[in-house]
Amino acid sequence: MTTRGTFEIKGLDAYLEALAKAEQNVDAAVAEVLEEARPIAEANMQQRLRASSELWTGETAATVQVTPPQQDGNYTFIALEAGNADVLQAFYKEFGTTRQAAEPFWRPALTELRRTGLKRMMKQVLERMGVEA
Amino acid sequence: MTTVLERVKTALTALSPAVPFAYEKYLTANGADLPDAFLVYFDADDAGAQHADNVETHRLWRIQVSYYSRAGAPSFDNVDAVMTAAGFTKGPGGKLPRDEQTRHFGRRRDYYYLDTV
Repeated sequence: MTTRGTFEIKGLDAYLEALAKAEQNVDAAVAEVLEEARPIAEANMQQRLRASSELWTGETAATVQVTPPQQDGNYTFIALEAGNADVLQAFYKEFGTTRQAAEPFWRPALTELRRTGLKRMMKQVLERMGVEA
Repeated sequence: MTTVLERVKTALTALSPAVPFAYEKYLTANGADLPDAFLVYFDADDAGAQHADNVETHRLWRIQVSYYSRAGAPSFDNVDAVMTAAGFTKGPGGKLPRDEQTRHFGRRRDYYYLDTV
């Protein structure tokens, strides 16, 4: 059972408007931000996984990945994934079971990325492009 | 000052009919069997939500409530009612895999609480 989540980033409208006004490719800029976010998101998940685990086997860590940016219409996204049909530990670790306390790592990583990480990266991309937000 | 976890405990205590619950993991004495239905709650994460002059003013808590039952997929209607009455907002939820050993079905839901710091 793969643990996969998506979320919307709010508060980036000003940055996106600045890009559009500067006649920059908004989709390309967003994809660049998400591509930069990938290793950070993965490292964040791994760090939280390690910090929250009382017993470390490495099985869940081996399944952690962040997909490259994908586009579906106006929707550009990356997916933070952990676990698969053969490795259910990621799901059990994140959400718990009747006999095992949860040790969340994926939701905290999503929260941190959503709250501060992506906005900071978007601002840096804009600065590189010479666009003021 | 009431902590967020104390708020959850107070809310779940108000469930009617009552459902036994525990923080993080339901422990039984001397290897006794788990109840047919029980709840587990815990803080999945918390993060600063609002700052003023670089000082945190509000923190957003995410609480997961897991509901396990041998009778089939549990309904969260009563849990939703007591949690929202306690000031929490409903977040995403989902199914938990049936535990073949304890024979419990399960569902979970996240609840959010914006706490003043």
